Amino acid sequence: MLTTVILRRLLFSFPTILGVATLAFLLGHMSPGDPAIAAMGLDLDGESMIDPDELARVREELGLNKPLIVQYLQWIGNALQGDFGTSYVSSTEVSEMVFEALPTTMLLLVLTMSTAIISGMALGIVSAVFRGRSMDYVARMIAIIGVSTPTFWFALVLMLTFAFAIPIFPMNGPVSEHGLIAMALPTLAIALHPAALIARMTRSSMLEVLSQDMIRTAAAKGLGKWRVFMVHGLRNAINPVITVIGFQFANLMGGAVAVEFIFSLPGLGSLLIEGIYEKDILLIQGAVLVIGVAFALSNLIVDLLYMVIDPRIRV
Amino acid sequence: MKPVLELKNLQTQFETRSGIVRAVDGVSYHVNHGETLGVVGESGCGKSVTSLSVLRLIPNPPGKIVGGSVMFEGEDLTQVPDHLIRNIRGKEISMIFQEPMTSLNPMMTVGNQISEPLIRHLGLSKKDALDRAREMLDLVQIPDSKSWLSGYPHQMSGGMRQRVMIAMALACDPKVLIADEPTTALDVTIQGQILILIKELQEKLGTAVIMITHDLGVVAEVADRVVVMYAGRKVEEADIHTLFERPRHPYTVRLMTAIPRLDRIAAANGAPERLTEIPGTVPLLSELRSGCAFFDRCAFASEQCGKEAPVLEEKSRGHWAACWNEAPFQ
Repeated sequence: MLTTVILRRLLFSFPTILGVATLAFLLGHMSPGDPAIAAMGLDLDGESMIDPDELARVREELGLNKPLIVQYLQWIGNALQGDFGTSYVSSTEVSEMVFEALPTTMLLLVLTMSTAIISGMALGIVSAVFRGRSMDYVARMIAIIGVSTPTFWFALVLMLTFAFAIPIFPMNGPVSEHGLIAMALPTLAIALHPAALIARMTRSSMLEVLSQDMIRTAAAKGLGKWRVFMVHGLRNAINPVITVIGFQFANLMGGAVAVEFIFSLPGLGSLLIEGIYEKDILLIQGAVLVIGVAFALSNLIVDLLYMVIDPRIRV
Repeated sequence: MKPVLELKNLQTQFETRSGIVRAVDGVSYHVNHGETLGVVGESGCGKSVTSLSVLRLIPNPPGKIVGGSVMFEGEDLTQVPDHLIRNIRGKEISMIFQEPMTSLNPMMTVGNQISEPLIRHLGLSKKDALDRAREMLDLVQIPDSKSWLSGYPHQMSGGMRQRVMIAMALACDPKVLIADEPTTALDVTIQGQILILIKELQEKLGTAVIMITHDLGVVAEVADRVVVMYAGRKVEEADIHTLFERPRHPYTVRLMTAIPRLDRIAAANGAPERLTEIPGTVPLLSELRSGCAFFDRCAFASEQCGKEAPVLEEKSRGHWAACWNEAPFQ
């Protein structure tokens, strides 16, 4: 039963991924600058000094002279087989570059998500349980600050404070150099915003559930306060929280791009920015496509989680 | 007979924006072993708040028990510490509520919900608790009890859910069952079934039942003794026969005449008869006047009624009423 649902959902996410691929392709080709010039290793301003014959030869070699639709079909056909082409700039396989960068980003996202979920939900629960008391005000204050702090700014502040002024964490560099501690500040930087949103949603959803009849029933059974809050309250309040967590994934990718760059972590984000600087369109397309697939998968996971948690949605 | 549960001069207040509302204003009643006490009154007369106050299930804030006592086995439940009241809830005194649709947890199997109090109070293992839960489902006459253990509330009808609520409430064999409008949300045929079920189980288990309802028909069917409440106070108390034969409070009388009667319709050869209603509405508890709370709606009110609130008096043996009128009404 569940496998049918998973297969059907996977089928449904295919058009999304195709759409992402198409957009990635079009954006790459529509943005200003000529990828052929970039491929020749020249500065984009140096256009006037280029030998037109040489340029035409490079174009032909890279297939950039073909009609856009042909290029599109070729690229997408290859991409479906896991071949994102060879970077014009670095002459490396794009898939190789992407999959080399993927573990760093995955690790960062897993750490960030866990941090955000644990701290956000804890904050939200405390806030709801102690509604109207000082704990609630403090928790809500933290959440509002968290929601309104831009990720890149918070990353820089963290770096200045805890790597520069008080050097407890490494300034920048990959895990291979510093160990897991290299992830500490980037994780905190990205996690703040989703944690705050999760806290707010947990609070309001919990408050709604705690006012329902079934909570009174649970209390009338003589159950302890925390069993009522967690088993009966939280379990029923969790669905909207999962929705928010699912949406956060998209924001998180955005945050990760900036933060990876700031902390010089060799992940997908850094790769993407590098690709944009160098007008390496195949690299941009590949990276965007992988991020898109990850996003579609995260939506799938959220849908499946609903089904696992709520017996009413089970088919 | 010694009462199993006794409320003495209980007072519960709510703090609202328009001031303090005395939802329960000095209510006393008791229930004996194996007896069914009916508590009747219109919406907003404080009957539910009174019963919720017994187990301290009033949300605080804004609600608060400010006076009186609830005596159960020599202890005042309004005074015992929180962890002790939790030992009483669901074990010694259980409640079932009005809304079976929303009173069960939609995320938890029926079996687990019935098991919870058994594990909590009797220390049963999960497996033993589920076995006992199945017996309880049999007891409340849910067919195919074994497969319903792993069922969810949304798969059940309202009547079945109320049966589950009853199974849950009686699982630990409590001494008192408080049923707060248990049939109000159900359709008429199911109402009858649920009332019969409660009555049967009471006889089988010897539980004392407090049946809270706005429906005198329900009271007539199940209660041994009746307390009539109005505006947060008890206005009349009598055994069921005395009450229906010789009501001593005009409010009780008006409640009775508001019930449709088949014999009257038959006497009029099936011609529809207009039901009499009680004029006006229950006064806002935050705007109670001096004098009798029923003054504005009472056909028998005298000048004295408007000035001075009547005190509860024993009009005849075991028959109490709070009314200045001396003669019984017909």
